Amino acid sequence: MPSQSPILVLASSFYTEALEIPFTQALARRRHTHSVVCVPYNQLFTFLLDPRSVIQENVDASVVLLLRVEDLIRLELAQRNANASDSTLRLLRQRTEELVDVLSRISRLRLTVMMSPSGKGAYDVEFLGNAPRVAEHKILAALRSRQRHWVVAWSEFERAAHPGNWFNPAGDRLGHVPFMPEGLDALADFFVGQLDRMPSDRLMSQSGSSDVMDLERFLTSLDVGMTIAPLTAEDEQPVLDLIRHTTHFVNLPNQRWDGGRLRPAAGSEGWVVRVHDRFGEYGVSGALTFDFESNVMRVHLLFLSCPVLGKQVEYALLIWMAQVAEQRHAESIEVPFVRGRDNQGLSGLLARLVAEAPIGAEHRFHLRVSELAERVGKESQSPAVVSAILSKMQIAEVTS
Amino acid sequence: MTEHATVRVEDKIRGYLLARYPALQARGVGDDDSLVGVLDSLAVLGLIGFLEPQFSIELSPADVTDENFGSITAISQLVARLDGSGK
Repeated sequence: MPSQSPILVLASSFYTEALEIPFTQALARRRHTHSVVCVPYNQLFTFLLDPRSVIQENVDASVVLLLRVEDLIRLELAQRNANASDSTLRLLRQRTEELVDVLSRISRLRLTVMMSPSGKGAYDVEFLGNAPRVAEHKILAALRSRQRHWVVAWSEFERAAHPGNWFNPAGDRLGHVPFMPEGLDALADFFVGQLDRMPSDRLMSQSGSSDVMDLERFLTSLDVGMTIAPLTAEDEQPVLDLIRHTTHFVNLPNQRWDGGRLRPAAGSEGWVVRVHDRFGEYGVSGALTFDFESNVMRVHLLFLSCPVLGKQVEYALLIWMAQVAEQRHAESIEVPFVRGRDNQGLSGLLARLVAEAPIGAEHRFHLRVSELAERVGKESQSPAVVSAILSKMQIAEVTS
Repeated sequence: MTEHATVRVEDKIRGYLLARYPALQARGVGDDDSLVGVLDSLAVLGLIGFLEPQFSIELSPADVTDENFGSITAISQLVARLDGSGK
């Protein structure tokens, strides 16, 4: 069988796709035959624990992972109010612990990792004191202790690259791209220049089960819990703040939501999703509004925030929607969808749940209630974890 | 914003674009030439990274539209609105 071209997998804690063209061009300039594959940043943990989600078997793959500590609490930094320093610090510690846990479970991949310095992006992190440095140290120590990854110091990159205006606080704030184009080019040139030094892996078919086990064990260990409760007046502002910063798992991105539009009108319902796991509380993590018209459950808003994605709550939420629809004798669920820059993950998932996916930038998905739970179960990375979330889920009584 | 200042803003934007995108150097880019298809969303973020410190402005997500980044004139008008010197 002819061997396929090697791939260079790019993963990061920010909008990784911004690196794709700079790396592709840098590879071409140096006449490497690698193709570039980007890991969506909300699927980072899934990829690290189950590389098969991105890397095909029998393909040589080098993986570059760029991390920035403040991305672990990006949402909280964007929403930060002056009185929330303690809770933000606590969340940074929780998320660092979670990342270290994931890194310690990687059994297949060997990574090339670099930590981008904190404090150069859109958000002020000075109030966190030396906590970001401590978090960086913990993460790098966890990587080095495995003695399988190549950890590149930022200073090494700085010495090798021409001095330039690399950081882009505005790009970080508006598009989660913390580097200027010249910074992205410099990073690409640097790493492609180091390609021969990078560890490379080839996933073989017999190792598949162990990869899946890494992810399954991690998801099980999270002990994720989800609560779904009717949207209250107190929930409105947290939900509105969250929508503003949610770009991945949202059906109507880039729209102006206010209390009036969010608040369920007569005959419609609004529900708020809260998530927790063994690392702590995520608080308000999503919302859903819908009404019923004859035998159709018509969704208006459906979203979950990035920090909870991948924990299988997205699948549990869809199954809960199917259960509610069934209780109300609806035969289908209609989800309006507008394509944004980042919400292909949601559209891809919805498209796999319907017999015929609609096309275009704006459309409606029609999910058949009778088969939805089964289809969602097949899509999840861990049906057992989804079942566990549902079985212990706290739900306020669904009223008809 | 004075006429003089408007010209300076437009020239600075043009200077950034020409330095960043060599393909534009060959054909040049006029104030009202369309930038649609020239600037993708990532290029716009790079341009905003240039505009904000250069003109001491801060854009909101609502400012990042095709209309506002459709030409050098449109961008300079956006800058004028945000720095308070425009209408």
